[in-house]
Amino acid sequence: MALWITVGQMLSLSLWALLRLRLGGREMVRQVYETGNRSILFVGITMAFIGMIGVYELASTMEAVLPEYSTLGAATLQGLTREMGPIMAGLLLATRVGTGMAAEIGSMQVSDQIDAMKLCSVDPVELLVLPRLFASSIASLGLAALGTTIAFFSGMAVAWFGFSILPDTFMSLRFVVTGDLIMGISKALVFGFTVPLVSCACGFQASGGSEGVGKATTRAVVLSSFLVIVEDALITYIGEVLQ
Amino acid sequence: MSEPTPVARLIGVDKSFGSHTVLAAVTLELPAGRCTFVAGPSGTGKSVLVRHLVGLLRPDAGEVWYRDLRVDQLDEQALLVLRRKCVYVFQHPTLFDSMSVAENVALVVKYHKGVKARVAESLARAQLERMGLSRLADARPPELPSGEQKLVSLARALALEPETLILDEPTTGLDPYAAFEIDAHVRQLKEQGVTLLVISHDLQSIRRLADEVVFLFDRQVRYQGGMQGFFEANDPVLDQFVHARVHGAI
Ligand SMILES: Nc1ncnc2c1ncn2[C@@H]1O[C@H](COP(=O)(O)OP(=O)(O)OP(=O)(O)O)[C@@H](O)[C@H]1O
Ligand SMILES: [Mg+2]
Repeated sequence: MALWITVGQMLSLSLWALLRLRLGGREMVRQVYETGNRSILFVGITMAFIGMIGVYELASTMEAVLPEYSTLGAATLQGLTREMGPIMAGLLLATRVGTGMAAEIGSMQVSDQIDAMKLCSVDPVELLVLPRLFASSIASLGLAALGTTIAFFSGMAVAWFGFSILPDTFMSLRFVVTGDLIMGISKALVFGFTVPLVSCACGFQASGGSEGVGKATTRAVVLSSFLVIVEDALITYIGEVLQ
Repeated sequence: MSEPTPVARLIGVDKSFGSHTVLAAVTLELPAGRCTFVAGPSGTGKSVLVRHLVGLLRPDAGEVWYRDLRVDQLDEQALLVLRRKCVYVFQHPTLFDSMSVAENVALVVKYHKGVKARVAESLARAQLERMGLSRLADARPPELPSGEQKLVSLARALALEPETLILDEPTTGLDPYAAFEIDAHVRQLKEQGVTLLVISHDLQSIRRLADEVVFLFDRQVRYQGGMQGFFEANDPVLDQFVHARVHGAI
């Protein structure tokens, strides 16, 4: 319960900061670099595999149902843009970046550094959380776009070598409409925002030495991955209703 | 000498964590311009007690006053005003690891005094200089021995020029020389008329510096009064503490 109060407080503070365009300045830029840099290789490799597996499965199904592949590339790209790109970026952020934030803030909490900040008139949320929130949203967008691109090209390779579909045929934007793009972008932004929000809140709730920090970290990754998936379903639903 | 007015008061404060009661109906006054020591066995709630004074903890029952401010009812914004005047130095060094010593001090100055970063930095360096710590200005806190970390924490607090200073076990775990150095700073502050609240087990420090002593035992204030009285009190608990006897109630 206390966790959700913290999440709510941080959410309102961050929306207020967003309205005033106080996004954390240089620290924010540094965090974008850190977050992106820390995840880029991880996301790239994971998404390359996801692209290959996805296209292989999709092509095998198509082969059985309608023995022609003209829509394979277009369907792959649509799925990646709407779903796989953003959700994988979100989940990977939760494991790669959220855990780090929870551990860092958690250990500051149990060693009184957060209290010390409050005493110094330094708002720990403003100093520690806001730059990470906005940075992570931006990084998430970048990672989703990069992941989608890598997965698409790795899928293209599988289509070419495994199913003899020429890149010319595979490379098709036919299905991807503006709606898909908007959905992908909003998912990436929301996930990028959720992960640090929940992870930092878990960190602030830590208590009781290094054991508490460990618990906070576990809680952060479980909760933020779970939320990413729930939000994914919600946004997809809202998108369908709006269309 | 007339009885000094209290700067801070706790009235009937209760505090529990879950089922564990730490303070029960604690009433306490902190006289202005005096040096009050709080002593008591480990784990009796000395740190918990003083955290109430700066609003880091709120009592389950009772009142906490700082001059005419009702501390336990202030919101975070109003607490900032209090925390500028009444500064608490934690028991364990709480310097920010990712910043240099000078940046640590400057950060506090910048936020509390609302000055530009550059001004804060030079004020911070001046404070370090006054305390003979200039050589540490560019070091990172984790690299420093604990005595120096405590001195830097003290410098960070003093940079705010507080009216009341609360030190939580400033000399515990330090070698005698480092402890002596801290005591010398406390003495100097005392001469400047800063109201001091020092938590300490260190009987030597108490003898050297205390005007008043508060002894906390078993969730309550067992003794509050002058320093001489503390050492001469006819109370088996105090007697055990003062003479470090193994057998007794503690
Ligand atoms: N945030 C907290 N949550 C739960 N229990 C706490 C918390 N803070 C303090 N306590 C408990 O309150 C009791 C008093 O702690 P406190 O730190 O005030 O003792 P102390 O008198 O300062 O001792 P020491 O000399 O060891 O510093 C301890 O038993 C501690 O476990
Ligand atoms: Mg203590």
